[in-house]
Amino acid sequence: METDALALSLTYQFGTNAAFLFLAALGLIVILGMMNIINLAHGELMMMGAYVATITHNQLGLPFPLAVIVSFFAVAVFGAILELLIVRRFYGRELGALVVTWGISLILGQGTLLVFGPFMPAIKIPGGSYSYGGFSYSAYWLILIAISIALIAGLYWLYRYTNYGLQARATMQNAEMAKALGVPTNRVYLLTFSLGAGLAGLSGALLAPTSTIAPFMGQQFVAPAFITVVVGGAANVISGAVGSSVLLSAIKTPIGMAYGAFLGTVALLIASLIIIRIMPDGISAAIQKLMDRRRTRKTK
Amino acid sequence: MTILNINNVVAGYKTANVLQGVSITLSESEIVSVVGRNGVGKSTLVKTIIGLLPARSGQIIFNEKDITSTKANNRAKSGIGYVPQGRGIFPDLTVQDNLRMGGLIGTKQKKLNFDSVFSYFPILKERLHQRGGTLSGGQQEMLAIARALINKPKLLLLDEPSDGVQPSIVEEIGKFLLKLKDTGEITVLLVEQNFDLLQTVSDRAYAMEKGTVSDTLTKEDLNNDETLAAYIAV
Repeated sequence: METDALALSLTYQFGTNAAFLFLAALGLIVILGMMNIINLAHGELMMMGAYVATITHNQLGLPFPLAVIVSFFAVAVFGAILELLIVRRFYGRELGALVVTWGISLILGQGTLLVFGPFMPAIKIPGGSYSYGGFSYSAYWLILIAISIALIAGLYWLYRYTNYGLQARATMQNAEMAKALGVPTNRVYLLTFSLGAGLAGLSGALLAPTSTIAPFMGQQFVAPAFITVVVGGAANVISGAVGSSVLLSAIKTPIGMAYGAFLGTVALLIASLIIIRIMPDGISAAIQKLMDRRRTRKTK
Repeated sequence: MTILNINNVVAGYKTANVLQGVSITLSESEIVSVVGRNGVGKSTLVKTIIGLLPARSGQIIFNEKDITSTKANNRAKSGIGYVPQGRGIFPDLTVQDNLRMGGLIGTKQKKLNFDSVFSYFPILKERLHQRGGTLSGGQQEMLAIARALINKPKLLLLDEPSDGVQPSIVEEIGKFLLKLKDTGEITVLLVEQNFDLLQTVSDRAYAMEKGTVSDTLTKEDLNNDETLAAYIAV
């Protein structure tokens, strides 16, 4: 009985940690993983999503799920404008993109502080909580875990099975050749950046009830987001991000439970260092190498 | 009937013009080659025809339409297939997805006619689920050609298909081009340095020098090794 409850709680903690890492990384999976833009405004895009959700839910009275969807579209439109006006001038110039997105993040953070002040009223966590064997479980986090799984499936479908997904992957690998095969590459870049921004907004809105709503709230997501995407690698960004959030959570959760959250985070950082040292191109590149070897052997 | 007419085209990179007024004409279902030493502008010519480089002056007429200021993606849609030097395979896409990319050029086709390209290059069928980047040079060349052909272009631009490809596959590509010519449905512009391939498939050729067409070669000129060598060798 006692061990049952502990195992269940451990599983739950593992799920919430993995879902948090995945959601924090969600928009960055597309923008850094696919487009190779070091987007330092990632946290601020998430913050925008949280603000849109807070305003539409708390002040305009929109039901929370609807507010989350509105956040996705609002930040996606903002991302499209950003791409058209600024980001498209920096493709292939990684350092330029890094500096310009940092600038954007400063403007967004300080601008939000000026307009909305240092704090917003929080969003009440939807749903109640369950308790079993002395541990309690939040219904909302269980929903977030389910949403994360649905998002993984959705993204996988989008990039694996749709024409847009195929053209986007091809464009990121060789834009000139894609253009010579009839792909309107400018539009693909625009759509992809906009989707990445929208997804950052979506996860910002989803995580808003679990966080303080403030102009610089995005900062807390930036480090886990970059760690998740970089450990996952670019060979297959979706399976990479899933792999790294699961693996990192599997390390953080038991250590966090035994020795406290702080040491759990320390363990996560050390694990990331070791993984990147062993697999410099990330988990997905290591998986890809393995699959290549298997498929080549099969046809020989 | 004329399928491609390039009239006094100037193009290049940054401040330097590589093509200094090139004029060539291709008729339907011919295989026409472009020969010349390295750096005379052969690849630049092909890139200007597909539209990856803008023509700074002059005119490009394809299939009786002026496409001089049409974007590359729309030129591809209008029926020009492009196989670049170095092949331009998407390394992280599977063979199948590379072929699907070629198929997406035309939005009309619902089902891709994979079998038509497998009949030319059966090896691709065996490698369908392998990543493009794991193929050998010759297999990648075949994949790039198949990808360009799957949408049935009227004009195929082939930039040095023998480059980095083993001799047996160069021979196979030669045989394939002759079969393709027999269908009578496609015109080929071939940039090439390999004597055997040039002599096997070309109906005639243009010789380029310093960014202009310096000479035209008949099939007899091409079949004479010494004449051909004078245009290619350093």
